[in-house]
Amino acid sequence: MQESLFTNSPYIIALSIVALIIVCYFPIMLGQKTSVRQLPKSIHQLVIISIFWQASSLIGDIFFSGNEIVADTKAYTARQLIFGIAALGWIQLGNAIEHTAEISLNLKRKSIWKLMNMLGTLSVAISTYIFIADPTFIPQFNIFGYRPFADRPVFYLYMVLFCIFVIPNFIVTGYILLRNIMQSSDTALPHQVSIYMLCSFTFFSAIGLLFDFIIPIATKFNNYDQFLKWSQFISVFLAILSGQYFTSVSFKNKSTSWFLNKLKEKMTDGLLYYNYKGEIGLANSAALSILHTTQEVLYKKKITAIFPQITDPSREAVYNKIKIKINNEDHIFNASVFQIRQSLTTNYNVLFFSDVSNTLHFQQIIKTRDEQFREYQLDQIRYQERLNIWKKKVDESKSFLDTLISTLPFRFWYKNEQGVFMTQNQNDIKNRGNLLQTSEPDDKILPQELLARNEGEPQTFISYERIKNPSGNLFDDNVEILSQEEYNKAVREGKGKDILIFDNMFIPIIAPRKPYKIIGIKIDITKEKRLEKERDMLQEQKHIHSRLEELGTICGGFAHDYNNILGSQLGFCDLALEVLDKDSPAYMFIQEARKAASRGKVSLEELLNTLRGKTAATDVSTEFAPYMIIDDVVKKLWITLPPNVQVKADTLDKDIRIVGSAASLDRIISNLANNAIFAMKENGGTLTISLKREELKEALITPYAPQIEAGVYAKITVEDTGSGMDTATLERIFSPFFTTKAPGEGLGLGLSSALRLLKEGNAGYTVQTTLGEGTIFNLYWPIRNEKMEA
Amino acid sequence: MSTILIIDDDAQLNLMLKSAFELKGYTVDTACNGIQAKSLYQKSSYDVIITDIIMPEGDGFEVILDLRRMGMSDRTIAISGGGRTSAEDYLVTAQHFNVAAVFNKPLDLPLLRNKVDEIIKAHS
Repeated sequence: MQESLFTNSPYIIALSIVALIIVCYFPIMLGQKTSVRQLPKSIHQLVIISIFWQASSLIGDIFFSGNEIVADTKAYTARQLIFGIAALGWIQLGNAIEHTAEISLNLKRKSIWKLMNMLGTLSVAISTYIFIADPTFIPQFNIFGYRPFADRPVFYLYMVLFCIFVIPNFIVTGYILLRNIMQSSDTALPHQVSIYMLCSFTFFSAIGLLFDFIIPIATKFNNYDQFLKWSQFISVFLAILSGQYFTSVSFKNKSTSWFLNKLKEKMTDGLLYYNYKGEIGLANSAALSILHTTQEVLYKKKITAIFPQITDPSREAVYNKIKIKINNEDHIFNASVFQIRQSLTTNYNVLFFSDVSNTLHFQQIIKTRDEQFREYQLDQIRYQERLNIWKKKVDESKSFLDTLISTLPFRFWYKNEQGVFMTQNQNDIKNRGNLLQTSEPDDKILPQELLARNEGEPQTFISYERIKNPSGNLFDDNVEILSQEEYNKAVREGKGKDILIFDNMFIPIIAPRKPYKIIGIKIDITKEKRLEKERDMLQEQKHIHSRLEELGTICGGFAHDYNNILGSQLGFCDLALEVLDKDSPAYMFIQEARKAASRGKVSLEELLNTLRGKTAATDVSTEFAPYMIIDDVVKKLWITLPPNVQVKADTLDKDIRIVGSAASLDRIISNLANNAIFAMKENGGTLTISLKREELKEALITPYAPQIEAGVYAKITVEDTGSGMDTATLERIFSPFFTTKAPGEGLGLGLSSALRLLKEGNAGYTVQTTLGEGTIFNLYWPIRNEKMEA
Repeated sequence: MSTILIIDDDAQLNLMLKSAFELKGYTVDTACNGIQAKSLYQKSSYDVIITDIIMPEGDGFEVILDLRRMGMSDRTIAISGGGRTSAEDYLVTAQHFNVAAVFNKPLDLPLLRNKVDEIIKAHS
């Protein structure tokens, strides 16, 4: 009886068909996930082996099943060929699987396995040939009298081949996987896959061995009509497993897991992987930098040691704002605990945490910046307002300045550093035209101006200018500049009237660098200069006059005494001549004495007249403004004024000019004023001096004063609020106080001399007095030629 | 017998005038200032009073005004030699007080005598 190699069980045949379909579909299925071309040769080999095996086995099962096939028949030969073809497949299975594992794990292929594969193939071919050529050879094979293959030659021989060429590969593959599992980190995905792979691989291999070899031998081949049927089907699973394993492991750089790893490293939030015991296994770089530590320090550390707030590390939870001290710095974290199930039995925990203290810090900063920004905006508004106010003020002061400058009563201009006119007031434009934004030619610029502009020295000087053509314009080309000598000469020659005198100023506006901007001012001081000159002249006249008068006073006193002496001498001489006989010799002597006395009298009179004439000569023919004299008198009075007396001289007509002796007028007013002050010495009061023009239509007759003719007069009033005078006193005021007042007391000759002076000046006076109220003296000084200066 | 009072601070002039009028047969008193004169003309009456104007105590104006109050202006003759100003000033003032006559110093004796005679004749 021949041994059966193929079963005719319809279940097995159906199962084979399904397995064939699956194994044919498998490459298409893999190709959907990855490109088929990317799969290694060994996988293709595995698939081809499986297809080969399933197909040949199916043919065998259909056509060559049962144990009725007799040796040396065509059916036997075909059956053995089919079986050999199937054996060519499975003999390479172990090699293909091991090859796949090596490629998946990037191991180097050892050439011994190639040799073993070739030997296995060869062995199958030879054994097949032997079975066909001599079917009895194997069963008859004798080793020391023992025939190991006699019972079931095909089964045992091929079992030996299987053990030699397939089992070692399986063992090595298991070893490779185990080694890989031991070496790699347990959180890595390949690690897990390798474990599954190993388990499945071992399981399937064990089933194959169990049902294909151990059970048939153990049951003594009870109804066993097949060979390696289990392994045939298991090869399908192994092919699929190997392919799956390869894709899972070898494409790791392009896989989700790779992407996740990259993502973990790019994250700014921290990730901590830890196992169910809470021991940290892995941390991403962000976690390390946040916690200021290294992977080595963290490894196997308890998660609760770092985050004490996490009470149960294996429970999924969210923790907000937990405070952790790192390097003595307070940090605030938001942390979440996730559980990641990696496989059915394994999972690990991930702590996902972010340092929100920075976030809070930045939020605070943003808030502060926001507030600052608002503050700045407010500030800007305030500054704008302030700016507006200042602008308004500046505008106001500018218009004020413009108005002021344009209406200044003298010429004003302003030039920049280059000498260009920037400002001119109306007075200046009237004099030289509008020169704004232009500069003057160099020959017209005065050296003083250059000094002020270039050296910064303020310049002040007086210039004399003659207007060439009085009817022409006032421009500079109609003006001749004179030196002071030329001016003095012109004044001496009486040609000074058309010469104008100016006070010139060039004021530099000092700036850090030369040259400077300058302000020019030109003030017409002709009138002031003339008045000053007139005042000086009057002063000089008064001085000469007072000297002469002093001399006259001395001589007058002397003459008065001497006149009396001469008078007595002449009188006595006359009396002597009366009583003497004409023939007496003494008569002639007395006559001669009288002649001598007469001569003395004449010469004395000549002296007196000369003195008086001189004094008078200095008085006459001066034309002057009396208000100046009054001013002078008031000034003098102030020096000796008693504190209880006030002097007022407010109403003085400055246009009135009179001809006469300024010195006399000074004396008269001084005397009147001194008397008035004397009268107010006890009780105090006010002295008022006024000057005005008055026209008398008819002669003015008043008591105590000579008549004043009709005419035009300068009326000078000297009024006091003193004690006034009774009639007796009024009568007496005209007597010379010479005898009662000591000379030099300031009252001089009193009103008596004033009277004479008034007479000389052809002036009149009136006096009104009321006891207890005061006295008013009015002097009437004729204005002889009113139109003289009008 | 007519009486004359002569008032002048110059004793020599007093003596000269006293002599001149005594030669003509008048009774003459003299005073060297206004105060002395006042005691004299209050005590006895004079036909003519000749007074100087500028005197140290009791000047001529006082005398003239005093006499005017006594109604004796027309018996008064003022004389003056002038001082620091001309004599006319004082004499013009004196004329205001209605004296009978004014004379400049140095005096013209015959004219003065005539005037005195004239006044005495006018009152006799």
